[in-house]
Amino acid sequence: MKTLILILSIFLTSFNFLSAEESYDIKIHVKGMVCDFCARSVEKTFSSTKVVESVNVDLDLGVIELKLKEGETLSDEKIKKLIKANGYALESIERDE
Amino acid sequence: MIVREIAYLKSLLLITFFLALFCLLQARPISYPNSWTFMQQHNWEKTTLHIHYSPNAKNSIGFLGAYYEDEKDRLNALQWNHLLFRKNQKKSQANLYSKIHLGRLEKEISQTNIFHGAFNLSFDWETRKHFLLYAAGIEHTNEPYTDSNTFHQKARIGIAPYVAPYGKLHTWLMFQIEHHPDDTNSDNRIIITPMIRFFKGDYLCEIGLNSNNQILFNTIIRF
Repeated sequence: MKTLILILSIFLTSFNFLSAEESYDIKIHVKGMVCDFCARSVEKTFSSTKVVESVNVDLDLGVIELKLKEGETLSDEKIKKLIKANGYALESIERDE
Repeated sequence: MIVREIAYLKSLLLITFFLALFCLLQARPISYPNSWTFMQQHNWEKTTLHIHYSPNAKNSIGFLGAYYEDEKDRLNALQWNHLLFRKNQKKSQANLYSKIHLGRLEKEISQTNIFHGAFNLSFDWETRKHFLLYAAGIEHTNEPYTDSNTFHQKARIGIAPYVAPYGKLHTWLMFQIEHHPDDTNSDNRIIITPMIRFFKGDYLCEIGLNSNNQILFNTIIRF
């Protein structure tokens, strides 16, 4: 019985690990990002930024989520500059403290 | 009297055209390369190929090649597209663009190479579900004996039957009306084209059939 519980626990833990959503360090709310071309553009820009590990774009919410590399930071000023350079407007920035 | 008025209007049009051209060319210098775009268009009038790069979000410059079906003329030109104005809202975006091309038109009938230029203004507004566009332009061609200036305008309305998430296939149903008041063929003065647009990632494709039963086929690839 103990063995069965142990196997079940390991199975459920690994399933939970696989299904867990990736957490993001920065959430950027953007104005004017209404189509895939727009989203593609900001995704490419942030992906090519050295401190960024991964980018997720939610077009429905107009949100860009960034996961930063270990120990790296990205200032609000830099984010605003990158958004503006792509032709969009920054609404707000949320950080996972 | 009428001849003098026509000559005056033509001069005024030309002056306006070149002033607009000059002002816009002064507006913004070209910066560093960022992305390339391939645009192919085929419609009742011509088949065009436009390859350009965008050094920044406000400018793109590139080659425009066109083949005019009826006259069998060929155009090789340099085209500059410029974002004059953009209004970003949470759920919408509005843009005003200028498009200018200058080049040589190979006239099949006279076997000559002549200057051809065009200036277009285009306004669009879109949400994830609705699309509106209005565009107007003038074209100038140095014909052998008389210069030719033509005006054209078009409007387009589109609706997305479903809203697809980022990266998935987007579909738009669109309806376009064109007005070519200077066209010698009366069938081409007003042209209505219902079309369907497919859009996924960096690829866009439009297929339509106009009121004269002629096919429209456009593609855009970004890389």
